[in-house]
Amino acid sequence: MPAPSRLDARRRRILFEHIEAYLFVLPAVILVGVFDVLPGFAAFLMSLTRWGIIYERFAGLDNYRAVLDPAGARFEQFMNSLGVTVWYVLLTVPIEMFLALVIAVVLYQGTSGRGAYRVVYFMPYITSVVAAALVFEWMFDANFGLLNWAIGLVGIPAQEWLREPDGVFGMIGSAFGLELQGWMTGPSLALVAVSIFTVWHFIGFQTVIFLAGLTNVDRELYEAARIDGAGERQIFLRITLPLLSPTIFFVLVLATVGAMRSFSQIFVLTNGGPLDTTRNVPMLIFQTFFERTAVNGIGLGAAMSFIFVLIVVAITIFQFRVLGRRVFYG
Amino acid sequence: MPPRVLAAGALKHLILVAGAVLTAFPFYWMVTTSFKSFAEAQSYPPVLWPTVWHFENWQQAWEFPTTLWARSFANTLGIAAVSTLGTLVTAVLAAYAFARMRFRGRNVLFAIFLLTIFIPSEATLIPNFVLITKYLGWYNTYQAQIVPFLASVFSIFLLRQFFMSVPQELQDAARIDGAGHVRFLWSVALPLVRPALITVALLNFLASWNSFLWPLLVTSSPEIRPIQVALVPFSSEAGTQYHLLMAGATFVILPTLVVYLIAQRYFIEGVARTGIRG
Amino acid sequence: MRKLLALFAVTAFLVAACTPASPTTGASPAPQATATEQATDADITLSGPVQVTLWHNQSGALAKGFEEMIKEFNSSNGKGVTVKPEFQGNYTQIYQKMLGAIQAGTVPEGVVAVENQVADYARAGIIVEMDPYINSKKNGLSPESLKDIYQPYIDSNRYPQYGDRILSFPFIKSLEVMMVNEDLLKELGYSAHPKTWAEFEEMSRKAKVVGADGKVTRWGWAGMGSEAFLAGVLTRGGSILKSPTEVGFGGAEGLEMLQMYDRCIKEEFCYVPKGFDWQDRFGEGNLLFATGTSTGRPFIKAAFKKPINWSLFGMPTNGTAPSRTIQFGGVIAITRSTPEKQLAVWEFLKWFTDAKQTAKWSVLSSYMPVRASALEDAALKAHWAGPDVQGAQAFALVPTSAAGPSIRGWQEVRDAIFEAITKVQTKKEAPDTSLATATRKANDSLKENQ
Repeated sequence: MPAPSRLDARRRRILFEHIEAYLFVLPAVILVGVFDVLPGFAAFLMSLTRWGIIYERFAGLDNYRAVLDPAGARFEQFMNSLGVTVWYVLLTVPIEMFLALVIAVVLYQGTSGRGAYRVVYFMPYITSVVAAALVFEWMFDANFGLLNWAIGLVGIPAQEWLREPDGVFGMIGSAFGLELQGWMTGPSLALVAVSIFTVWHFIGFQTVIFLAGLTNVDRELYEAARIDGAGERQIFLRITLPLLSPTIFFVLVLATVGAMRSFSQIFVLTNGGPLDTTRNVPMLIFQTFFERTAVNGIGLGAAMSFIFVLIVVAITIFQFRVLGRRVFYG
Repeated sequence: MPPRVLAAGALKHLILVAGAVLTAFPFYWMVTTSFKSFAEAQSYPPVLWPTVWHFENWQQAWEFPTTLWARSFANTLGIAAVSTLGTLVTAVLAAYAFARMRFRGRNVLFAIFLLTIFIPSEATLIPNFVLITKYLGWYNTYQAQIVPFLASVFSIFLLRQFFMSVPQELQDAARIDGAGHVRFLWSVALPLVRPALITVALLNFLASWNSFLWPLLVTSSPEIRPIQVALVPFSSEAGTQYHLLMAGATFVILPTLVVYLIAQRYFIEGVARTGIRG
Repeated sequence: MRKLLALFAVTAFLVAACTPASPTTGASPAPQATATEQATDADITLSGPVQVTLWHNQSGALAKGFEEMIKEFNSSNGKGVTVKPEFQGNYTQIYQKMLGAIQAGTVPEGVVAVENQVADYARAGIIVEMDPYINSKKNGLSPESLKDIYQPYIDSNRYPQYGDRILSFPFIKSLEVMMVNEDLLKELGYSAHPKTWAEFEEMSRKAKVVGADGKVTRWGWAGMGSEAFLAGVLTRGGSILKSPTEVGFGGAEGLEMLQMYDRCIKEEFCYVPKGFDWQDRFGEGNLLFATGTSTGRPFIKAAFKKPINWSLFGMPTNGTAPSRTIQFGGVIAITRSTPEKQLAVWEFLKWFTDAKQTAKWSVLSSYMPVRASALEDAALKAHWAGPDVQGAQAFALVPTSAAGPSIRGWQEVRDAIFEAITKVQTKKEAPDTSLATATRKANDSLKENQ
């Protein structure tokens, strides 16, 4: 082993700097390694085993086959959950984004009281999902709920909300004498109810991000446009939207991934019911792990989560490919 | 002002007020219901304002059989405080190193860190669970609720941005004065990024306060459970006594609401900043 | 660095994944040691203090009563046994906790469960066989005492996938029963309870009343669930299980039951409940029949707006099959720990299911007592003779009851049945299609859980 004195001063300093830097990152590396990276690898290995209440054996790709075999029961469950996931994204993301954008633009223009509004709109985002869900459950109550009372005021009959497995399109259709069948009946009212909660919970988050995006838009551009005689609508369409498009795109990607991975609100509000109409993929994975299939729950659930991850990643890449190009990076 | 501009302004405020009322209404409903009598909470059509304020409801909910509110609150506070402090320490060190120190493997390591954000928690839930319970033997302990949250990639990412914005001249000046990284970090860089530290601390504290699924899975005794988990048996116990349920929900939400209203600037700006940077 | 990390991760988890979760497990489904060894374990003498934890599902007023009884046991057992009760939520929540605790190796000494959950636990080799305890000369039950416990209650704790051994003990027992508003029955001109499903349907149909606004204000029947469905299958001459991997309700009997329900929904003589609000309709005097758990008695009474003369009776039949019903509820399983702790839980079970305690618990909780001799108990007698006649009526049905099979995967079977019923109830699917789906799903589950 060479003695320290044989290293020249520069190399010694570099070595010391490296040791110091490694010491700085070490705690984070260990923690992230053990609780994020390692479980990621482990999840993949687990998906290759038959492992339920106990570990049984290595199972190769059996679990993937079980989930992806169109004749199997697991496939049906998985596809149903995928359908729920898609509906849930469609029910939440566009509405959230539209409302948040409107609020943000209006807030940005009218300055008086902006801070106060911002505080109120952001409030739901910081509240606990479990506690807030209790409040919504109460408002959705079929017998004494506030919502049934409110829709009763405009002559709509009382609904079961979180317990209603019927599709909303089907319900609306039959109110006008149109009988829809199968998938055309749409997402269940229960899923719509969960979506209402979700929109409420996340709208402030998106508003704040949009507001930040708007603040970044150069005010001089507006001034110039006004001097050129552009109307408010033109300014919005020609300047605000294009300049905000990176933010909109970012929110879209974030909200889509977030909605696909939603769990807590569904777990608390419906636990996947009624008739599995709110059982999205994360809920199915959870149930497979923890409530059912003691025989192979861990193996199957891990396989499902990997397939799901691939789907989420594919959708994100798709968004980047198709929409990302249209984003205007001024 | 011309009437058209006035009308447009009024319309804007009308939209904003309506939206704000809808957003805040659940909170209003929760708090007022918690003070209603049992009959009034169940009455239909609903009563929007309690005719008699039953302040004793809160006491009744607090002392509800089989609940340990005080204990659960202490647990949550302790868990949130320790994990927030821990996260601050690990995140400041790592973020500083990534932003201002040069070492081999820095970029690769940072890339790996960022990649972990994309691993969905559903996929790592079970391995983490098995790791914590079986291999570390931490089932039903405080450390199971704290240690996995002592590092946060998100916080590292956020703080790194701030450390990068600290002017290089300051560091050069410090080096000439003979200050190493530790002293520079402690006496120059940290004070400069104080707002970011507060944001990171608040967001982590909030996340810890609101975490539910993980503590539900890794604990079994009411004595060590946080309040989010304590709310579940309480809600099944209280059943349809909605006035008590709402009191319980208020217990859980109120502290975060107070902290939020005091420090809302840091919350909102923290989120806004991550939004732009992302 | 990345390579190193990856290597570390992979090795660590290969090691982890290939270590069996429990040293006692293997391909063999037998979770027990040899009979002689067990006999010694069950025959030991308890010396010194032993503390055991019991995970249970009793909440609210019942939790208070339950915990008081445990206190009484702790102070009076004379063997130094202390039972520490821990409320862990409902059956599903306890099950989730157990799955975790099994991985962690930190299961409580005793756990409340339903039978198919015990069948899952036993797969992990953590459940103690109870036959040696029951039969122990020293610590067991005398033959008379064992006979005193209703046979169906013991039978449901035998596990066919584990050599029919007893792996759990009855804790809280309920029955699926038919409830009837006697005043309404008389008003409709009937003097007896329906003997057949055809009579039942006719009576229910007749009970329907339509108000001025065209809405139904009085109904014939409510409360069709998985248990009512299975009871219907049995009383139409069908079976629950054909073979270990095939359910028996997929045939004509199950179809008839669903078709009857379908008619009932379409002709609107069935009340479609929102949660438990059928109890309110019953309490208002606007519901003739309801099927449900015998343990719901206090809730039914609490919903009465006016005094109603009501009773419980056994399920109608197809005219030839005997009247049967389904029993269900919680059992307690003992997990492998130390011989002392295992015996301590057994001592508690023995005490809790003794005539005096089971009678006391029945009065308190409305669950069925597990022993015939509980009927001798003065307090229970007085309770059932006066304020709770319906309790005695339900108890009379115990000998005709059968439990759902104590096998792995049965929970998914129940879910599949429930799904079929809900589809009929919401007019989403015809009875034959929904039953076919349920049968397929149920059989899949049974096969997967072999």
